Amino acid sequence: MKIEMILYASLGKMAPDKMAGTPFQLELDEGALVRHAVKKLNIPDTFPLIIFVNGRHSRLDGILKEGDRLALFPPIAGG
Amino acid sequence: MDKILRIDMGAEGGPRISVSQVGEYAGLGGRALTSAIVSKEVPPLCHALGADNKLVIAPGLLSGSIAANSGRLSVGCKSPLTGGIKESNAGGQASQVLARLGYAAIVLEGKPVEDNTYKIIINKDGARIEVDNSLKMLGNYSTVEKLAKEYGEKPCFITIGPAGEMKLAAASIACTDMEGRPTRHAGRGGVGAVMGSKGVKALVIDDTGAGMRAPKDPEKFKEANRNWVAGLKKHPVTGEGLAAYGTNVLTNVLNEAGGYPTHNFTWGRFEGHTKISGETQAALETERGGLATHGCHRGCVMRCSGVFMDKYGNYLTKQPEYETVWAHGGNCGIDDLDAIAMLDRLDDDYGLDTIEMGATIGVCMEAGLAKFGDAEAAINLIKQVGAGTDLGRILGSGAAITGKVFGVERVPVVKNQALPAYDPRAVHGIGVTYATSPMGADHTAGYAVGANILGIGGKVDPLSPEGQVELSRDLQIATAAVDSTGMCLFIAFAVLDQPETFQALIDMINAFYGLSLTADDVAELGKSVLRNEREFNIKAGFTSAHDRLPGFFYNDALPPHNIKFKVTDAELDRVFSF
Repeated sequence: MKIEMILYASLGKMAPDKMAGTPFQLELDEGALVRHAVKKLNIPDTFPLIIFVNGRHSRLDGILKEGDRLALFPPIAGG
Repeated sequence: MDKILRIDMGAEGGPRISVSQVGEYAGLGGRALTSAIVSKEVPPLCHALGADNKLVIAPGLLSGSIAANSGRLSVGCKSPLTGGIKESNAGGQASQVLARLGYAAIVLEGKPVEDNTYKIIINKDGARIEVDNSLKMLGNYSTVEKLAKEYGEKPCFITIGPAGEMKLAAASIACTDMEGRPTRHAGRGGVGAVMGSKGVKALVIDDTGAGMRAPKDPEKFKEANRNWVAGLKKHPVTGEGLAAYGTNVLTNVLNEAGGYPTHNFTWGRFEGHTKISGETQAALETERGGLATHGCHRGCVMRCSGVFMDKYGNYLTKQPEYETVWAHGGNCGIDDLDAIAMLDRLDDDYGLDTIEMGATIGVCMEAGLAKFGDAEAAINLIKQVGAGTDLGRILGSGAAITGKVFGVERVPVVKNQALPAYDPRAVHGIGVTYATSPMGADHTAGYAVGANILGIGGKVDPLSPEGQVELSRDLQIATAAVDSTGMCLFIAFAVLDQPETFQALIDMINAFYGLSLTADDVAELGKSVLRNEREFNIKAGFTSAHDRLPGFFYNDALPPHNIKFKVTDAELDRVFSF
């Protein structure tokens, strides 16, 4: 299945075009978890992440489905 | 820091300066002190621009010491925008410098009889006040440039621009940064209008010869500060994240969460978000020879600020903050960082709150005065304020007034103060803070965005009303305490996640003052500040009806989550039951 993947801030360097915030497609097995997408992107699974699936918070064990939008952020804050 | 400098601007024969001991206000700093003085000395029903209001400028408890990030300044008064009590907080050099000169507070009171423009000069030898009508109606940048020619580059300057002189309710007070630029503003609530009503254009503050403030127990203090700095450097946000991308790193995450108010709070996502994100902004600043990392005051280890150059490589403004980029950007449908930076520069120069002005322009666009996305029109509207045209004076009075004048229903204000950059329907916790803070809508009063969106200080589902009252209450209490120390509020990201860093902060206060405060005592300080502020507001006529969001947040669902604000009135009324 294919999902839409977006990496932000310092994670942008893990994206194919090294660009933060540019969506790209990621091919995963049916029933894949967020963890599998993270692994495929070579992000260590101990790295603290803010995870959104379709704009809602998720976790490494969140289940993905075709067409989902998965966005990952490193720890960030501002205000 | 044991004296209070008072200047009675309405004294017979001209302004009269007096210096007294802190007396009954001993042990208070920052917001605790400004709110104590205002609640005790200002009649809550007075006119905010009248003789009875007082402008209180106070460094925090640890300002002027070597404690890292201790340079925040509190400015308090009755607000001409909200009609309630106000503490507006600024960075820059002023807090450290005032504290080193020994002042716990400067209080401007009374009302001048004649239409003169005054400047106040403060140094180790004392204070004096002089008429300087050559400064009249100058922008903050020209004012500071002129003063620096006369007094040199060393002093820091606290100034108002034309908006403050016109006594507009969105007027800010500017403090100069390390480079002497008037970029750090006590923005919220119209504090600049109160300074303008006192006839004071500028404070020139020079701490030459004053030295660092000395702690009671230097060894313990030094050790606590070491732990403090280590804690700030260890946390991924305060140690790295803020420095790399600045506060505007939030654009993408709020957009992703569907809580980024777009087109005057119509949608929760903005198509042009990546064009104005912190990542894009930092890259542009670096490319043009500006700075993506910069501290707003000496002693800051987080360095969330920056320097923005125009496309020719010339200085234009400091790095516009997230709230500014949102207010003038996505909120108005504008995706052009150069235009946003120009709006930031104009706001700083005229002395205007960027949040209030961005929200006001959004309301103008809703009213049809300009089209969403029209950056040139937005710039021209802000220029009207600087020029003091009739329209400009309406806009400079803020979003609530502008909405009334142009018949707009969707006006994002609480207690007449514009909402910042988080839609309460998709970030419920911050909605509780907006509704209930004695300050009016203010994200910094209880930053529930941390636990709602960023996973800092716990995790509370942003889309549900559950747990938001407790979250906002605890944060409002903690924030009132932090605002009293002179510490930058961003220390909270490390303090909330790392108990040992919170302990280091308490250890610093204890070592500095020879106290033995516990975490409970710090919470009690926060509660007492809030009690003072709430009591003032109640006496000023505020009721629970004022602790509510505007109706459209309850009636109109926000895309993409199609959700309304769901915290009940009864729940909101529980926030201050402590």
